[in-house]
Amino acid sequence: MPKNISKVSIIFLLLICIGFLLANNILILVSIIPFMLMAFGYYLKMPNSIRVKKTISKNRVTVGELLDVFVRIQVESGFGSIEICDIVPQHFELVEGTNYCAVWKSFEPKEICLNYTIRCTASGTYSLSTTSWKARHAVGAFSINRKYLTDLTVEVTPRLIELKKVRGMSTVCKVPMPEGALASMGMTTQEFKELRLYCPGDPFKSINWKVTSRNLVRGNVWPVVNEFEKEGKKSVWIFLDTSRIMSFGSNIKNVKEYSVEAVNSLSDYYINHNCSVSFRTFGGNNIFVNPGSGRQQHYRILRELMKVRNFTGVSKKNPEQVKNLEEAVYSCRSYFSGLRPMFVIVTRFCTKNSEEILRGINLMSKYTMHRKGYVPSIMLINIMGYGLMVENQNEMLAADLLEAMNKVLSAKIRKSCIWIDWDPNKESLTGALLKQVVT
Amino acid sequence: MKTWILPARIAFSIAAYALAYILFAYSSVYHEFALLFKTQNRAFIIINIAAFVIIGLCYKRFEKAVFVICIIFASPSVLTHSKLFRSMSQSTVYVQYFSPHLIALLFFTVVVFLLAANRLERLDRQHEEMVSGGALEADVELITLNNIKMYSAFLAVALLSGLVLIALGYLATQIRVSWPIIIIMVVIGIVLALGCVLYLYRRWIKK
Repeated sequence: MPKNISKVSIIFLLLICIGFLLANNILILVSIIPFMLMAFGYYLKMPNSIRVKKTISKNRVTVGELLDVFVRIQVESGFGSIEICDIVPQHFELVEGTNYCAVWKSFEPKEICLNYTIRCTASGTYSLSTTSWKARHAVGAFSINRKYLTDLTVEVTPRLIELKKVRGMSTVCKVPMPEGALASMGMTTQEFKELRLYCPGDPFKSINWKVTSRNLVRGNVWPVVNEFEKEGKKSVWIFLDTSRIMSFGSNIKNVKEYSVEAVNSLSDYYINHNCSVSFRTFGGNNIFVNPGSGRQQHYRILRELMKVRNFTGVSKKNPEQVKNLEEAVYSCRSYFSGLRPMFVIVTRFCTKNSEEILRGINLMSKYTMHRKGYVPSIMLINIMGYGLMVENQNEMLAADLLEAMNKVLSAKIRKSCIWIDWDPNKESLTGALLKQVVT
Repeated sequence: MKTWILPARIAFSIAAYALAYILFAYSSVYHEFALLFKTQNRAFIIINIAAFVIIGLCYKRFEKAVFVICIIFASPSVLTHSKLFRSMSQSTVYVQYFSPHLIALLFFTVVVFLLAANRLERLDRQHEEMVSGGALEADVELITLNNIKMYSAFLAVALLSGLVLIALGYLATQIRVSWPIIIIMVVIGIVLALGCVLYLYRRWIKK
């Protein structure tokens, strides 16, 4: 029984009792009002049985891409007003249309359509399952709140920032791009890389007849070839900071999201340049992707990057498993033997992690290539997060001051590696990388 | 729609206040006040000022304040007709200017007006909630209008039932029947009333 009806019934009983006790006909007469309210409340039913059918335009989108949602709601029975809200998960912003409506339901069945467009601002897997509704009684002052659940999820992948080489510049690039990394026409080794579709020019002996015949059965008549690793592959290790320091910024624009985009873009770039790429996190969750190459490796890294998005710092269950940069590098040392890998660190430099980064870079220097007069093959991308939180001119000045202070603090570290400052508010990652070009 | 809801609320509240004041003015308690303040005009001014001050202090929920004041004003007239109350205090002579049926009708009307004002206030709040939530203005106005229609129908049925019962009550006093028939009628009435109440209560519990 709703709370309001209980109150009304108490009022009715009080009036009747006092009326009989005092033998007052007027009070007994007035008690018919709450009684009639109870009767109306019972016999006039609120909108109740609701069915929801929800569809989305795509199951997989990238960050910033628009997603259309179509919701069809059928209200079968009941009478009165009903408010319907299709719950949009956190990190989504409504671009067009509305996910809320209020309608009047008469005695006939009613169908309501909600169409809206949303944009996701952060990568991850989101559930678009909940549609909540509230029905109010036409006469009584009570309502019911219910939820309708559908099985619908959408995968949001990080944005891929295209990193392109700038042609026609007669300068030596300071950024340790893998120059030694192969032309695509190098000596092939026996190490299997991946399967791909046949391109004109591929030797017939590389056709994998088993897979080709399996594809024929599925209706795909194009041959599939084996691709093997090229000789002397350059190895790239990407270390991503997932500590609390990275949870800086607003819900829509934050350092963590930009760091995920940077890792996605860099891994895509190096994989496209036939490098062996591996991925490791430190400071928070423990994600490690073994070294590998090819498109599959990029998808493996992408899958792990989407898990990073949902993590908010140190795990309470196993705090001892959290590794800092030095420990993370040390735990992977067995992979470095025989290779001179290039290290990429993606983090947000501040006073809290300066020591940790310095120790990590010192350890990395022992494993990477040394050429006299050149810095080791270590690149640090510092995502400058203060600008993401500013709302006015004063805060902008304060942010600039903090960045200047960080520049002073990082002077020693800048000498040991290639330091890339990236302010996502002002430039893209490509722009930040291009700024490092020197003679 | 919003432009006429507030005036309607105020109109219902004023009408309820006026009727309740009439009930109060024609009761013995008011005469006591008049004797206390020496003149009727003075008593009228002081009582109304006190009432307005209380309503002004509770301006955010002025319907609730008006409700309480109207009930306080109407209580002397209503309670005067309690047979137990009268039999207990035989020394005091209560003056009755209105018949019990008229008092019942006026009191019933006061309650209906107060319920109407309260409901309009609730609908006004609901209107704002829905519009700020993002619903279309046209849809919300339709909902508000339909709610007003439904509640008006309910109040009309309640008022009509009240009138019928008052009329029956008046007619019953004119009929001369024997005691056993009166007792049977009373018992049937009580059984019917109790039966309806129990039936409805059990339905709500099952729901």
